[in-house]
Amino acid sequence: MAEDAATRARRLLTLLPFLREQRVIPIAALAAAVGSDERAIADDLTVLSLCGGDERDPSQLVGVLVEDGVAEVFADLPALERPVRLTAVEARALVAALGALGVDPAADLVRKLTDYAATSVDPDAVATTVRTAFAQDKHAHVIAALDLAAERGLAVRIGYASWGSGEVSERTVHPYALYRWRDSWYLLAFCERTNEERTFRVDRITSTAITKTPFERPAGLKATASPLPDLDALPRATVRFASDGPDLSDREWPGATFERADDGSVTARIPYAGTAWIARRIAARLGDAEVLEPAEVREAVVATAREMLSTL
Amino acid sequence: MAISATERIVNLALFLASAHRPVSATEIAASVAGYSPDQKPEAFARMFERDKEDLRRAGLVITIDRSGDAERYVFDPAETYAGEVDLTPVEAVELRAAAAAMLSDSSFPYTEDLRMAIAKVVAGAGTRMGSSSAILPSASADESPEAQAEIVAELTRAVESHKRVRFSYTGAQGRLSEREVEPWGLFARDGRWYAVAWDPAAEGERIFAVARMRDVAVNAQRPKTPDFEPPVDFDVASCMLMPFQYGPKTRDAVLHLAGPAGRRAPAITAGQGTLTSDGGACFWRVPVADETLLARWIVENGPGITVVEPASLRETLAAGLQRVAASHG
Repeated sequence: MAEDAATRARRLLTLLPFLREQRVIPIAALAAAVGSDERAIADDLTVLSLCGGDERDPSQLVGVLVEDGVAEVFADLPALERPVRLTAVEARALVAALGALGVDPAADLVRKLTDYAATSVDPDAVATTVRTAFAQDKHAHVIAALDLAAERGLAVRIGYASWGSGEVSERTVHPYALYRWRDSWYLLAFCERTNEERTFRVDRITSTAITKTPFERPAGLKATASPLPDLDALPRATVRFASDGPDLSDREWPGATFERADDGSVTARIPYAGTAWIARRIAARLGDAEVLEPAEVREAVVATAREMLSTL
Repeated sequence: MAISATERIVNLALFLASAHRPVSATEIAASVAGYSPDQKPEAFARMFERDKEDLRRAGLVITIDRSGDAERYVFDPAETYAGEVDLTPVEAVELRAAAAAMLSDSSFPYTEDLRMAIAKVVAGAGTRMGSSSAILPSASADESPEAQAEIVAELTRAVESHKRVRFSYTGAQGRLSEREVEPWGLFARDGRWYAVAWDPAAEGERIFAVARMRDVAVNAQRPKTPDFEPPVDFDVASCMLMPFQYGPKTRDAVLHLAGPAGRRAPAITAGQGTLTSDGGACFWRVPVADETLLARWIVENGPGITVVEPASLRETLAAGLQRVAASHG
């Protein structure tokens, strides 16, 4: 979609305070500061250099020159050289983005940012009408630490809780990439303990300590923003579901294929990495799903059901 | 060379901000590059009104002085300019990570507003954000992420301005219906956006999956007049429940979480109900609408979870597990 004039004008106005701070600014630094790309910033500054408060007075033009990847400010700015308060929609965007990172709406950071907003903005209305994540996912500082270590190329000592036992183990990792998938954050890293690349769930990282040991990020690293393994390489279980439902989908059973019969039943071929995961999910159907094969999955389902029955 | 609309809006901002006094529309038309002297007064007025609204949307506070014969416009620096924002180094990195993640997330509905906000905060904090190389572009909402982002952006405008919204909705049974609702809030959960709204036809509060909405239109009649008032104590967080909690009637269940389930309790209970410590384990009291769905949840999140009450939940769980053991044994 083509950008409208008002949006671009808004962006141009946000650049003015940066031009007051320094007389010579690398375009790359400016682009990084405002989350834009260098070409867009260079174009924006060129347009800005044509703007001024009064067309009869050339001294009121924005005196900025873009050359060789650098913006040079050669005259005092005519006005709007100080940052403007956040509008309500901008405050909402910030709180929503921080929420997705796991920052609690009641955190100091959110309060500081809503204080930075216009006096007409109601901070409560921002937090009570839009939520991007559950408030208890307070792992923003973990993501921040991993992001910083990745940028500096430094190994990190982490505590990691096992899903099965909940026991925490210490390990040193080389953080390569971070991404969000559905509600969760993941870290792709080289694990020194297992000597292989692994995907870690950020909400199970219990501690982080950035070390002074540098690491080399491998060239040609193929990092995709999905924690799913190579599903084609996994064995498959054949499962018969007594009735169809919206949860019989690729989203709920990644990589599965479904065959729907006239009697309403559905036969699925489901890839599985370990029997524990699939056994628990089939047992959770409470009798409306039966594993037809292989035997190892059938046995795991029975074992799961009997173990739970023994504790009731 | 013709002056673009972008330049005209920036010129107007610079003119108003550097005037330091009330200025009339006539002065603006004569001084600001982009307004043509040959323009008809009505055309100028329309253009100027639009530009002024655009500047207000950027955060500039422009008031009207009606003390003289003609209206004059005043830029208010005290209300426009922000003070300083003092971020700790950790907060600055958190902000950078949030910006990097959400600016590259195709399902995030407020990308452009976030970009502006970050630029203002960075300018005010006097810090350099730097760019994050570690955060990969992703889509938190995995089904039609761009479409969900677009609809949520539209719905947010309706939530903010308290305007009704019409849309076509595909219900759980695949039936298509036309809805007109009063949207109160929005939340994202497990890769999907949801809208919480009052549905006057059903006389009840409803939660709609955004991915199932089509042809969303905010009531354009009298845009500055609200169509409804949401409840004063509304908090969208109270609608973010676990699947077994949605339903007309709930009663409390109490579960005991021990072993690995006990250690994971804060994560798996998703902020719902009340956790009480019991040594290395804990009790969880939680409102439940559908006991079968809770029984399923117990199996998926076990081992280590046992039912304290109600007895009917324990029976549902036992009967279900016996069926599983019998069919696979």
